[in-house]
Amino acid sequence: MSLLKKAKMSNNIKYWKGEEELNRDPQFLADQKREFGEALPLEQALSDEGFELNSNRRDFLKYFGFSVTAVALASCYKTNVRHAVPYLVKPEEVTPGVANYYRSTCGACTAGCGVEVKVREGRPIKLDGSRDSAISKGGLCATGQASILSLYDTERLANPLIKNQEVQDWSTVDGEIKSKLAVLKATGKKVVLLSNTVNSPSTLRAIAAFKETYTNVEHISYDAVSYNGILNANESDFGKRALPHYNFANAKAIVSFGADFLGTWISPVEFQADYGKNRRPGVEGGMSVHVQFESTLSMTGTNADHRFPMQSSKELAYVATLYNYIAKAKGIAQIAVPNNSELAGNSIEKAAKILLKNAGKSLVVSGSNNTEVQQLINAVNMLLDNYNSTIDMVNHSNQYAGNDAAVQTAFEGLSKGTVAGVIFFGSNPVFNHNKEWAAAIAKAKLSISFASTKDETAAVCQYVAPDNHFLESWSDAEPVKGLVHFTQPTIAPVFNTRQAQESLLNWAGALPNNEIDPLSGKGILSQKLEASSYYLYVKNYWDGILGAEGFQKSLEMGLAETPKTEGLAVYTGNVAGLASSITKAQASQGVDLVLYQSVGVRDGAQGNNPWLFELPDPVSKVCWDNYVALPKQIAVKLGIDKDATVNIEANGVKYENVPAFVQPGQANNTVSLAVGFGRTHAGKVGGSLEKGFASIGVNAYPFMSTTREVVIGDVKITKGADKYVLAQTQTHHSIEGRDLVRESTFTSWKKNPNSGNEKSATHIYTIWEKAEYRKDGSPNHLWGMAIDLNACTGCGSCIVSCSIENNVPVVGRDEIRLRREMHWIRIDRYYSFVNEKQTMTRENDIAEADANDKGNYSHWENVSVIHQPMMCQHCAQAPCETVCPVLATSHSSEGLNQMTYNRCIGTKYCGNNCPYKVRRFNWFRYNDNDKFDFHFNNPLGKMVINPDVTVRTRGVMEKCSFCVQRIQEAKLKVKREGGNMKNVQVETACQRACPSNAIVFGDLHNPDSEISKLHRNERAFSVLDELNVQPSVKYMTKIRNTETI
Amino acid sequence: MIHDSIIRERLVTGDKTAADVTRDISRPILNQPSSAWKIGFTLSLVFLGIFGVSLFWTVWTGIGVWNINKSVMWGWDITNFVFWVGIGHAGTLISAVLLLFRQKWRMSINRSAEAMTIFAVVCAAMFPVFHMGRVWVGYWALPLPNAFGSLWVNFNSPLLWDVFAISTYFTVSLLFWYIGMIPDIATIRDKVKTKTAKYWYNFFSMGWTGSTRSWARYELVSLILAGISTPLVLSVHTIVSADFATSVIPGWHTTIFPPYFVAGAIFSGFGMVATLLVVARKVMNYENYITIGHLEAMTKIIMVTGTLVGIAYLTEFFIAWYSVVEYEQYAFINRATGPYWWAYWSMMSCNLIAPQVFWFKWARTTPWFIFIMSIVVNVGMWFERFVIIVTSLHRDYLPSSWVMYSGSLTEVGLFLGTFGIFFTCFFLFAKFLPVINMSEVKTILRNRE
Amino acid sequence: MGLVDKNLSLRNRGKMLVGVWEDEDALLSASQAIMDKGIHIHDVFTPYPVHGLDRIIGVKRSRLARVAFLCGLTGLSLMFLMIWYMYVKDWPVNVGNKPVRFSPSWIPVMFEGTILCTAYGMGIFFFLRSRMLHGIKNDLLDERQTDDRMIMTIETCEGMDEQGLINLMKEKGAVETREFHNGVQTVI
Repeated sequence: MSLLKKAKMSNNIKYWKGEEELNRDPQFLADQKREFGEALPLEQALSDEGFELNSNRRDFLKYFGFSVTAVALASCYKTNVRHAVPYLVKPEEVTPGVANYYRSTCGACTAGCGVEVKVREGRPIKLDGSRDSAISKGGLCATGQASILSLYDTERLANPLIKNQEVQDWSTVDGEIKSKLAVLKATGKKVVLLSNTVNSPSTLRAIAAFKETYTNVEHISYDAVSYNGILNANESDFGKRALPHYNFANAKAIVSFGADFLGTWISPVEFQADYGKNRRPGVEGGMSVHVQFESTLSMTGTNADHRFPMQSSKELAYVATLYNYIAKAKGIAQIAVPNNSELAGNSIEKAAKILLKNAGKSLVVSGSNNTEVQQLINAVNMLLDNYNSTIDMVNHSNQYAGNDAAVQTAFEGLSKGTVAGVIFFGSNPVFNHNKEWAAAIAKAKLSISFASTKDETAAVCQYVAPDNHFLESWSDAEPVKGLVHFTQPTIAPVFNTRQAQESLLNWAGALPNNEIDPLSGKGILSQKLEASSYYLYVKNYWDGILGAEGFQKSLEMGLAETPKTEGLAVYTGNVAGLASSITKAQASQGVDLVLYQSVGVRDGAQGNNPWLFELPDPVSKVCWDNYVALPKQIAVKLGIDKDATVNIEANGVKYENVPAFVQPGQANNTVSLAVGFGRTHAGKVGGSLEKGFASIGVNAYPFMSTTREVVIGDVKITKGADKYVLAQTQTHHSIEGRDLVRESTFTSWKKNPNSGNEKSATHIYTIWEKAEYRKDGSPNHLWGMAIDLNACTGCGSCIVSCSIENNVPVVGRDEIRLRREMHWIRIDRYYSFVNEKQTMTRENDIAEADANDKGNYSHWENVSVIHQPMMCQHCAQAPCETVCPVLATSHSSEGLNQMTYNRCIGTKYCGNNCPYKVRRFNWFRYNDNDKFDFHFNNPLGKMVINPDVTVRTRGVMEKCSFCVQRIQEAKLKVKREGGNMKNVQVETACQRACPSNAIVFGDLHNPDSEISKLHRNERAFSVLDELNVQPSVKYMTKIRNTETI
Repeated sequence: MIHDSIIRERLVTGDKTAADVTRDISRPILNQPSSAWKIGFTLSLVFLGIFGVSLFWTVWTGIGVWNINKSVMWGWDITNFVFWVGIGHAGTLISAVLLLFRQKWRMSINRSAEAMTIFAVVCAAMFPVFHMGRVWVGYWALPLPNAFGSLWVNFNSPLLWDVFAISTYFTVSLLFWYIGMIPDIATIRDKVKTKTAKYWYNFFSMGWTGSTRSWARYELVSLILAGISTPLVLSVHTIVSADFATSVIPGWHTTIFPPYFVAGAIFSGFGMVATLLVVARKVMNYENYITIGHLEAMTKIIMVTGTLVGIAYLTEFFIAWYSVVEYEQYAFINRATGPYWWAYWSMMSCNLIAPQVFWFKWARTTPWFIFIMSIVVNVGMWFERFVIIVTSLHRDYLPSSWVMYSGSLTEVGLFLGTFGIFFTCFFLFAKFLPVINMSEVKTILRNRE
Repeated sequence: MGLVDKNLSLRNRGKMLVGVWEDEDALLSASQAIMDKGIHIHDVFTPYPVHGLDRIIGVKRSRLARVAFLCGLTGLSLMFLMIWYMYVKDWPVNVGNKPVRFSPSWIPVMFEGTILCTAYGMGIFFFLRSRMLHGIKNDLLDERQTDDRMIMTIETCEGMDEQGLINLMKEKGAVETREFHNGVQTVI
C-alpha cells in the first residue's frame, strides 16, 4: 500500500489525528510504514504472555490487536501519536485483546452504584455492578448500563461555549467568567450554584472552596423528581432533613403506597437485590409478603403478592386508615377521621394484619411527595418499630437531598433580578422544573452551565463549561452515610472538556499545584493526570482520611467505609394534626393525573440514549414514546380503543393528541404519564429544536406544581382528534390459558415443593437416541441456564446489558411498529384479569367480561402479572437447525445452538420454525446506514462496540449465543493460566447485569455447579416441554405468597 | 377393422384435414402478430416492468421493504411461491397422467399446459430465490465444494429438498415439452419462408424427418417421460408441502399436507389452464381444436379436486380437535374466527363451495362462466396458501410473539410482476411456437376404436 | 451396429423408389401389400405417428426403456453416494440431534436425482440413436412430409420389378411416385 493511501486512510478516521498525521509529517509516515512508530519489544512482550511466535491465526490477531490498540489509545490523547504508542507496552495490565476492569461509580443517577468498567484497548465498553458495593451488590439497572453510551454521544460539546460560540482554549472562558464573578462579588450581587443532589464529599468540599472565594455564592440543589415529601417529614419527625436508608433485606412484609422501589424509587438496584433475597421460597424465615397500593401499574406493582388499585389523591386517607388499624391493635389513640373502611374493601385491613404479624421486620413506604403522607408513613413504621431493622435513619441515605422551596426562591430571585448570577451543575431546570426558567436566566448577568451537551438550560446560558462524562472523571460519592464509592477515569476526555469541580476550583483559584510526579497513579490513569488536576484534589482529600496507602487500596476496590454512627433516631412526630387534610383527601373527586418515571428513561437526563428509548417499558412494553395510561373505565367513557390519542389539561398545562394507552391495572379515575420525555435539546435521537429532530413524547414536568407534587387532581381529559400507533414489542397480553409459565402459592409449595410443576414428570417418547455429548459423565461441558421467575422483576436491565455485550443494533420506532426489534433477550409479560367471579387469561373470556361489565371494569383494575425472560433456549433437538439448508445454524458439542452469520443466506426458515420466536433477522444494514442514525452510524458511537462480537451484516439471522465469547474467554484463560474450568465462573451478560440474580448460567456436566442443582430443583420446568426440543434453559416455578392474609 | 366411432363425439370438430391443422395452427407463427396479441404483449411487458422495479428495490435496500416481521418471517413471498408451483403442476398432469391414461382429449391442450408449467415454475422460482436475505450467496444452497473447508448442505432441510425438486421439475418438464415439440417445429421449418426463421426452426427441429423409426422411439420416449413425470410432479408438491409439514408450527405440522397440496395444485393448475384456453381459443379461433368438450372435461376435474381440498380442510379441523393439542386446536379455530377470518372464508368459498356449480351442465359448458370460475379458483388457492402460512405463524406458541402481518407495496408489486413474467413468456410462446400439438392432433382427426 | 441408426440417412444409397400417400389407411394397406410381396420397405416418413406402421415395415422394438432404467439406477446410486460422502464421511454436523446415517430425509434428494438422470440419460440416447442434433442437415424428400403427406422409400436392387412395384403403389392409392437417385428426385 502506498504511503499516501495509508495516510489518507488514517485521515478518514475522525477521532485520532496526531498533528503529524494531519500534515503528513514525512517522519511520521515513514514510521507508519513500520507497524509501530517505535521499535517494540514485541516478541518479549508476547512471550511474557506465554504465546509462541510461530504464528497461528489467533496469535496474528493478537499482534493485529496491538496495532488496533495503538490507534484506539492514540485516539484518547491530544498528545502526539509517537508518544502515545510506546506507552502501550509499559503498563503491565494492558494486554491487547484482553479486557481490563476498573472499579468506579455510576453517574447515571445519584443513587451512586459501585460499578466495574470493562476497558478494551483503552475504550470503556461495558458497565457492570461492583460486587463489593453495598448499593449495586453486583447488579446494575438498565439506565446505568446504558449510560456508557453517553460517553460516546455525538451531541457532547467538543469545546466550551461562550454565547453559543465554540472556543478552543479554556483560558478565555476562565478569564471572562473569573472577571464577571469578581464584579458580581464586588457589587455584592447574589450568585446561585444550582446543582442536582451532590453526595460527593470532595465535590462538596470543592463547592465550599468556591464559596469561600466567592462569598456571594449560594449552593442550592434539587432533583428532577423530588423526594421533599420524605425529606421534610423526616425534618419534622427526626429533626434531620435526609432520606432514611431502607433495608429491604430485613423486610418480610412490605407495604408500598405507589412507591416503585424496584424500578425507579431512590435506589432501585440496591432494593431489588435486597428484595430479591426474600422472594425465594427457600429463604430462611420464609418468603416475604408484598402488598402494593397504587394507581399506575408500576413494575413493583407487577411483582406484588397483593396489589390493590388506589386513587392516588386518596392516598392520605388510605395511609391514615392503615395507621388507625395498627394504632387500634397497639392500643394507641387513632386519628379522629371518619371511617375509611369503604376505601378499598378490606384491603387496608389485610395489609395491617400482615404488617402486625411481621412487626419489626416489616416496611411501609410511599412514593408520594406529600409531607403529610410521609409523616403518617413514618408514624406507621414507628408503631411497627421498623426503625433500625428495615429503616436506618441514623446512617441515612444521601442519594436525594434536593430542596424545592430553596429552588423556588432562587427562581423568583432570578426573575426579580435579586439573583444576578446562576451556575447550573448537573441540573437542567428549563426542561425538568418549569419553562419560565429560560426567561429568568436571560435576565441574569452571569449564567454558566456545566452540561456536557447543549441541553435546554445550557442553550440559554452565556457560558457552557462542558463537564466530563463520569467515566472521564475523578470523584467520589457517599450515597449512604459512612459508605464511600470512588470514581476513577477509564479514558482520557474524548473532547476538550473539563470536570466541573476543576472548573469551580480553577475559578476560585484553589487548584492544587500539579508538580507531583503523576506516574504515582496507576497505568492508564497516569496519562489522565495531565488532563485532571482534580485527581490531586481528591487524592489530597482522601489521603487525609484514609492515608495514601488506604486511598490507593480503596481506589482499587472502588469503595471505602467510614465508621458508622450507632444509636437510634429520636422520633418526635405527631400525626394528630393531619385529620382535616385526611378528610379532604378522602373526599377528593374527579380524575387524577399521576406522573411517574419510566424504568429506563427515568428523569430524562440521558435524553439522547437510543438504548433507553428502545428498551420496552417493563409493564406496557411500549418503546420510543410516553403515553397517557388510561384505565379501561375511562377509555370506555371516552370511546377510546387502540391507536388513539387524548387531550389532557391540568395545572393550566395542556397537551393535545397525546398517545393514549389502555393500561390494565390502572386504577379507575386515574391516568398516568411518564416524565423524562419531550426533550427539545437532547439531540438527534431524543429530539432537538435547533437541529430539527422531533422530540420523543411530551414533557410532563410542567404539570408538577411548585411543590413538585406528582399527583395532580381534577385533570381534564378528552378524546384526541389524531390517531397514533405506539411502538410495542409485545402486542398480545393474555397467556390464553397455556402452560408456558407455571405458578403456585407459598403455602402449597411448603406442602409440596413440586406444586404447580407436577407436569414436568410426564415422560416423552422419542425416536432419536440421546447425543453422546449430552450423556452424563461425558468429558465436555454442557452449558445451561436457569431463570428464577420469583426473582425476576422484569426490570429489563438484562436487555440493555445483552444489547451492549452483543452489539445488538437499535432499530427505532418505525421498525418496532413493524415488530422487528432486535433484542436477543426479551421479557414476556402476561396479565391475568381477575374479577369477583374468575381469573381470566383468554382473550375471549376477557371480551365477554367486558361485554357484561357495568362500567367499573374491576377485572381491568385487578390484574396479576408474570414476567418471563425469553431468549434462545439452545434446544438439544433444535427445530431451527434441521431446517437450515446451508447448515448456518448447528449444534456444538457443548450444547450451544450456534449461529454462523457468514454462512447464513437468510431464508428465515429457522426463525419461522422456532417455537419460542427468539430469532432476529437483519432486515436492513443497521450499521453505517443513515436510515438508522443511531450510534452504529457514527465513528464515535462505534467506540462502544464489543470487539469480541461480530457486527452482523444485512440479511442474516441472529440470536442469543449464551455469550459464547465469554465462554471462550474463560477457556482461554484456563488454557493460559492453567487451573480447572470447574472453578471458573462463566457469566452471561444478562446474568451479570441482573440486580436480583434471577439468572444462573453454568456447566450442567458439573454435578455440584449451581446450575445443575437448579436444573434438578423441584420448581424447574422448561417451556413447551411437550415439543421435546429439550431446551437448555429451565425456569423456576413462580411462587406467590398470596395466602398469608 | 377401422371405422368411425359412433359413441364418442369428435375431439376435433369441423372436419379438419391434416393440411387444415397445419395451416390453422401455424397461422399465428407465419402471419404478422394480431393487434390483440400486440396489446396483450405490451400489457405483460408493463407488469414485467413492475416486477423489475419491485425486485430492484428489494435487493437494493434489503427485504426489510417487505412487511414480514419477527414472527411472520414468510408472507406473500412463499405464498406466491406455492401458488405458482401449484399452477405449474396441471401442465405436467395433463400431458403425463392423461397420456398414461390414453386420454386423447388432452392432445389439443397439453402443449400450452406444459408451456404454462414451465413459465409458472419460472415465476415460482423467483420467490425462494429472492426471499433470501443475501441472495448473492444463494448458490450456497447447492452442494458445491467451497472455501469453507468443504462445508456442505443440510440434507435434512426441506428447503434443500426444494432446491433439488424444483430444479429437477423445471429441467425435466422443459425436456418433455421440447421433445414433444420437435415434430411440430419441423413442420414449421418446412413452412416458414424467411432465411433466419428457416435457420432457427431448422436448428431446433434437430433434423426431424418423420421417419417411422424415429416416431417409434419418439412415442416410447414420450411414454417413459410421462411415466417418470407423474411421480415427479407428485413428489415436487409433496416436498413443497414438506416445507410446512416437517416444521413444529401448529397449523403447519400436518401429515395430510402432501395429498392435500397435490390436490390443490391440480385444482389451481386446471383453473389456470382454463383461464388461458378460454381466452386463447377465442382470440386465436381454435374453437374447433379446443372444444366445449375440453372445457367441460377440465371443469369436471376442477370440481373433483376442489371438493378434495375442501375435504382436506375439514379433515384438518377434525384432526386438530382429535389431537387434543391445545396449540393445534387454537391454530385452526384462529384461522376460522381469528383476525384473518376473511382470508379463511374467502378460501373456503372459492375452493370448496364455488366449484360445486359445475354439477350443472350449463356451468360446465359456458366459456365466459368457466373463465370467471377459473379466476375465482385461483384467487381461492392463493388465499389457501396465505392462510396456511400467515395465520399459522402470526399466532403460534408464545402469545407474547403474536403479531399481525399485511403485505407491503413491494410485496404486492412482486406478485403482480410475476404475472408479467408469465404472460410475457406465454405471448412469445404463442407467437413463435405451435400452441397445439399438430402431429398428435392429426392422429385424432378421426375417432378410432 | 453403431449407436446411431444408419437407416435414417438417405445418403450414399442406391436408387430408391418413392411413393407419396395422403391417406393413412391407404398407406397402411399399401405397405402391408408391399411387404407381402417380400419387398423390403426402407422407411416411411409421416407427419404424425401412424400406429401399426412400424410393425408392418418391421422396425425392431426400441431398447430405450432399458437405457432409461439403467440411467435411473445410476442417478439413484450417485445421489446416495453424494449424500453419504457429504453428510456422513466428509463433515458430519449435529443438526437438531438428527442421526448422521441414512434416514428418510435422504429420500427426497435421491428420488429427484433418479428422475433427473433417467430423463436426461434417456433423452440424450434418444437423440443420438435417432440421429438428431441441433441444426443437423436433414434429408427431406417432400416439403409436405411434415404436413400431410406420407412418403414411402424402397431401395431398388438387382432384378426387382420396379414398374410392377410402381403400379402396385399407384393402385394402392399413392398420389405420386418418384425415383430418387444421388439426391435427385424425378417424378415417374
